[in-house]
Amino acid sequence: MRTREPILTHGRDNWDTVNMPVDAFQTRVERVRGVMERERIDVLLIYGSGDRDGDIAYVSNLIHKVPGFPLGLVVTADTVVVINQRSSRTRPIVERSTWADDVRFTRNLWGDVTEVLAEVAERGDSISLVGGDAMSHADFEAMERLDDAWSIEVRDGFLDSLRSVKDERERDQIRRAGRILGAVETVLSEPIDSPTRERKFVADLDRIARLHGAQDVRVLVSNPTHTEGAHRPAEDLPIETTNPISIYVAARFEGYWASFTRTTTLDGADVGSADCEAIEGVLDELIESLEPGRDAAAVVQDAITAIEGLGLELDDRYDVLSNVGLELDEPPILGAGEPASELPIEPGHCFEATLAIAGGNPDPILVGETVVVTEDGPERVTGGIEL
Amino acid sequence: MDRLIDLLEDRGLDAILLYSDGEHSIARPSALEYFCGVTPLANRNCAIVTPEGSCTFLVDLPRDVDRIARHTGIEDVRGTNAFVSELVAVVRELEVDTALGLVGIDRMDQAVYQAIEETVEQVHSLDEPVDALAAVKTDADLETFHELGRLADVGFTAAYDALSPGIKEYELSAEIEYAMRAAGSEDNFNLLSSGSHNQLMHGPTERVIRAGDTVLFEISPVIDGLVLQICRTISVGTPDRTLVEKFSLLKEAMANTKSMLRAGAPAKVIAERMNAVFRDAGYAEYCEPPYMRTRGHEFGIGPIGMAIDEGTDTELREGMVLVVHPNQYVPETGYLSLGDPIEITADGFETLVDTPARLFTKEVL
Repeated sequence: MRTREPILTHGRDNWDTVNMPVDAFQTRVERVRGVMERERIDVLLIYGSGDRDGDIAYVSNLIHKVPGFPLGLVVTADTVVVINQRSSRTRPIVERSTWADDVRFTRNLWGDVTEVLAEVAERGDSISLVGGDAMSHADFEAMERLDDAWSIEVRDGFLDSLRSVKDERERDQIRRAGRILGAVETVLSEPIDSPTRERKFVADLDRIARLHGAQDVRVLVSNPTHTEGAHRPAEDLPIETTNPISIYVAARFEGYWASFTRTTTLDGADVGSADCEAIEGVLDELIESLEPGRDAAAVVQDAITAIEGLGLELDDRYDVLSNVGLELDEPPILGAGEPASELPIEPGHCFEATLAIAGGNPDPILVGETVVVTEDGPERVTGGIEL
Repeated sequence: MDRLIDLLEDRGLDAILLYSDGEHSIARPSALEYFCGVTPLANRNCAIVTPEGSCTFLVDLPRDVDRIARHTGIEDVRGTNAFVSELVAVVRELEVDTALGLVGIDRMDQAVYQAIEETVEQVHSLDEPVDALAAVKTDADLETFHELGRLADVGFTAAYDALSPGIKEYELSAEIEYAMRAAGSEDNFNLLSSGSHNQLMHGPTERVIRAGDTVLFEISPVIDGLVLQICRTISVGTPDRTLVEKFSLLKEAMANTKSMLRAGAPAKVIAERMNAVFRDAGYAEYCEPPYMRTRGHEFGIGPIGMAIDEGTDTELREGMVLVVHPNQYVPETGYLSLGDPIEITADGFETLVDTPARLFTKEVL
């Protein structure tokens, strides 16, 4: 979890069916059904809420917008039913955003799930749920109160392997999100000659991303001159133009995220630190190592070794590699010292590669890029500002 | 916090646990954020308050610990990557074994709730009494609401200034949000709609705004977890006679309602007075779902506070902050929007924004 702020999703609300046509979703659903068949699952229930809307979006194209109103999907061999625990007044928006024909609105998600199961399933069918870990206790209890005939097995992570390998259209959406961030980076690279305030500065970045079509924007700052150095939301604090700060910006374009992290100064000058240059070099090496067939865990370990070789220390409160796509942090997520087993890199993996260094100059140093792994190797979709 | 400790003692509890999944918004405010004054970044967070006044804050993101400590002044803030087991350890360490009050149960995932239930003999939901506590605004809360009123004016002014034929809805929304964030708002629940016949307000789309459109706004700035709201309508170009005539119903409904606002008045009078105007004008069926639901709502930590309709069974109290919005779907014009945030005072009410409650016109050159 990078940040829940802003809580409310209120950027551009659009579905460009040229970029992501209906048949792209139908292909995905067929892949999901293929796995269901292999696993002998008759009905798949998908639950999504808050930032945990990736499984829902993967199948339906719907993203979660209103806190406290979860979304549900029922997938069988023949049908996909969308259940919205929202006011029916939102029907036109929801119907415009999904390819699924059967869209239902309810004030009682699990009540409606029961009705849908009665229509599409038979007693004794094998029913699995994904998204149980995003589900509130109240929803979990409601699920357990379903008719005894419906026995539901929680299978969190069921869609992870499908989602983690992006097809060409998905990679393009991440590239588009990266291009929005390119506009943000252009603003970041323009020298500022007088001190600003964190909130004003972040508002500037947010505005640029939104004007370039971002559906959602997350910006975190590290301003160690004034507070602790960890990334946090902007506060009513000054930023002096010559003091190093770190900025994390993530933008979502039609469901898909990309992000970057920079340690910089606002006056346009280099941070001027050997540590920064060295860490940038380690990040470059890490990104170049994200080749199909390599072991992601070994790539992370190599980076850690290189950092230690510089006499610096990785801040293990940050992850080094995490998949990015319909959510900011998708499995697999790799931090320092994990995992022990191999994770082979495949074309279609899309990573946020981040290095967080404690005890260097400046302190902290935070750098990161979004990388799409193609058949030809790693491709940065963010980047361009020299440290 | 003193109010929480009083509640804790009244109920004879070992402790109160305030829980948050990190979401805090107009649609889903959180007691943890309200009482502790910080919005954590993680999706599992809690504060445990004991009768002695000690508070332990546990957060599922170790790098957020220092910020939370700085904002809250709480000394015992702990970060963990194993939230459930650490929570159980803290509960045992604090010797909370008999009766624990829980606030925010609806935010808890099953693993957290189950762990608490297995650790403590009795678990009591305190959501309702804590909502009631938060309904009584402190002086600091009221000061923040006044600042939010200023930010709502900033947002609407930005909307008016940026609005012109050719701008897209999402660009307009970005300009509103930019102005509010630059002026100090932490977040913004911003809905809008544009067109010749609007059906409802929604998130901003790619639609290009044209001369002759009616543009609706619901602008809701956020500071320190508190939210306020203004609703307004702008005509792009000179409005036609029908629009002016129908919008006057909203103004009449607003005036009709405000004349009744004072401490001790039943809250349902807001809905009754608004609906009376529209019913008398022949729009009774449009005062019911799916066209209309509530005629306003309180701002607090309950689910958007108290929603106000003709069935609302409570009295307005001094210090209560609410929005009154005679927003209305009218078949001849489409949906129209007008809403003011107000504070109930001892002898009446105070409107918390300076933006006039009228139909605005953005002239087209």
